[in-house]
Parts: sequence; structure tokens; C-alpha cells
Amino acid sequence: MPENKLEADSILYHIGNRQLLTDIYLSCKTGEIVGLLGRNGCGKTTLLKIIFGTLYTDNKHIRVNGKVYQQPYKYKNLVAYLPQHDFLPKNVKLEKLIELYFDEPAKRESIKTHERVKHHLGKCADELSKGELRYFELLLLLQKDVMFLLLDEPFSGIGPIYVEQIQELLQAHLGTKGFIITDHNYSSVVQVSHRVILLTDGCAKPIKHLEELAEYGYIPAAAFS
Amino acid sequence: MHQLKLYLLFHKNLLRFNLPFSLVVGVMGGAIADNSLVGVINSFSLSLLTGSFILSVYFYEQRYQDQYYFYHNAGISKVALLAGSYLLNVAVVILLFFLKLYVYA
Repeated sequence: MPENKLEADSILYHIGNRQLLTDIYLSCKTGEIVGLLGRNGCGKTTLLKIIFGTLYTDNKHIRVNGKVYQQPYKYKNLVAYLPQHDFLPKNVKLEKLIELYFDEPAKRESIKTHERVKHHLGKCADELSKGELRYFELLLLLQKDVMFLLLDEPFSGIGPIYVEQIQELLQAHLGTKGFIITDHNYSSVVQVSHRVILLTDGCAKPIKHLEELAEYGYIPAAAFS
Repeated sequence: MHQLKLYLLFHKNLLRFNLPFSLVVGVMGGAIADNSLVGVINSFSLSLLTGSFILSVYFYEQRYQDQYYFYHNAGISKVALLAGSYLLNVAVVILLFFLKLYVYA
């Protein structure tokens, strides 16, 4: 298994006078799921967009296997990003979307024949339920030959069955990819993650014990009583 | 090849806004010009490359901003998408220019 390492270092980001991210360091390796937790507005999505390369910031240092990239998304096979909101064009059928995204017949077939997709190929994205759409979006990105996948709220607004299926999907691709995942459904994130990082006061705090989430005020202390 | 198809898809989505605006401007231009057809072509072409293009980008950003990530995940930046779409509009305008020459001839 080729082991790749993504490092996001010295990330600073401010909105007006508010320093949202203060000298953040985050890393992820192949075969690893890093859970990123934090309150609303603490900068989780901002951080993922900066790592992906679509959000400009004054200072950042994104390295993959030691090589620095300013906008990693522009390079083939580095990183993909599942945004918080649906990102597929609504007026295109799923079958067409698969063909637009992949040249390789094997990859196309792999998605088209997938148990949870094959019945929906003739539908457009807006005809799917939230869970079905999220699952399909993730499946599409997982077929890309990228080293790392940044997942912004993959469990948001979907039922427990799909949460479990998405978790299984991530586990199945750990051999070739690393994941950075953030979601407000913290129990699902903790369950699937190998490491958990809490973004609080603009800093990234590694979490060793779940009780620390309460100590930092991310979850109520009563959660452990 | 699949990148080219993605550029065309984005262009098609922008045209959904750009084309109706440009047609309206074109019809208005044709109504006030001496030669109606030439007036339509001139106004339509100008609108396609300026005001209607800007409006179409604005509406796309308002309604479908998250869809940019569909293209970003294929390695295409927003600037590249907009430049590609604009160049396709330029190609249409060049074709219309030749049509205009034919009409004059």
C-alpha cells in the first residue's frame, strides 16, 4: 500500500478583525480517517476549502508527500472535496454525470452497477432523496484516483441507515485514501475516525479522550454522566 | 476529453441565463436599427459578450454556487470555466460576424 501524507501547516485566516484560524497544523495519512470537530462558525469548512485550494488565505503551507501545493485541487490525483451542500448539476441524469466524470469504462461500470445506484441512473440529482444523493456524491468522489478526500458534513440530514453505509464505504477505501471528515453528528465522526481534532478558538487541539470534548465546551458535560 | 465535456456543460448552464437576455436585447436592437437583421446580430453579439454574460455569471453564482465544486473536483478552476465559456461566446459572435458579412454582400 503506497503511503501518502497530507500536511496543512501554518494556516492563518481572518474575517475582518476576527482571527478565525490561528497557525493551524493538520495532517492525514493514507489509511487514516481524521475527524475534525468544532462549533458552528469555528472555521471547519473554511479550513477544508483552504486545504482543497479554493479559498485564498494570506498564509498556508499545504504539502503532499513533502511537496508544496498552492491549489492542490488543480493537480491530478491529489485531493477531492465533498462540500457541505449538494454539488451535482441538477439537470443532468446520474448516468450522464458518471460518463462526464470518468473516461475509464471500468470505473463507469463500477458505479453504474453499484447496488444502491443502478436503479437511479435515469434520474437527475434533484430526484434523489438526501441520503441517496449524498451516497452517490461520495461514491463518485471515491472512484477518483485521489490520495485524500475532504468530507464536509457527509452525515448531515441523512438517516441512520445511510450514515452506516457511508461509514462502511469509507472503511472500504482506506487502503488507497486518507480522509479528513467534519460533521456536527459528532458521534458518527468519532465512531469512524482514527484521530479526532477539535477546532476551538482558532486552534486545532488533538483529542485524546472524549471527555476533553466536554472540557473544551464542545459537548455538554452531561453527555458523559 | 472529459474536461472539454465539463466545460461545455458549464457553458450550457450559463447559456440558460445568457441566451434569453441576449435575445431580448437583440430583438430590441433589431427594432431600432435600419437593417433589422444586422441590428439583431449586433445587439445580440454585444449583449452575449458583455451585460448578459455578466448577468448570467451573477445568477449562476446566486443559484448554483455549490456546483462549482463539481468542476473543481475535476481540476477545473472558476476562472478557467468562465474564460472557457466566454471564449465559446466569442466563437459564436465570430460566426455571427461572418453571417453579417454575408447579409451585407
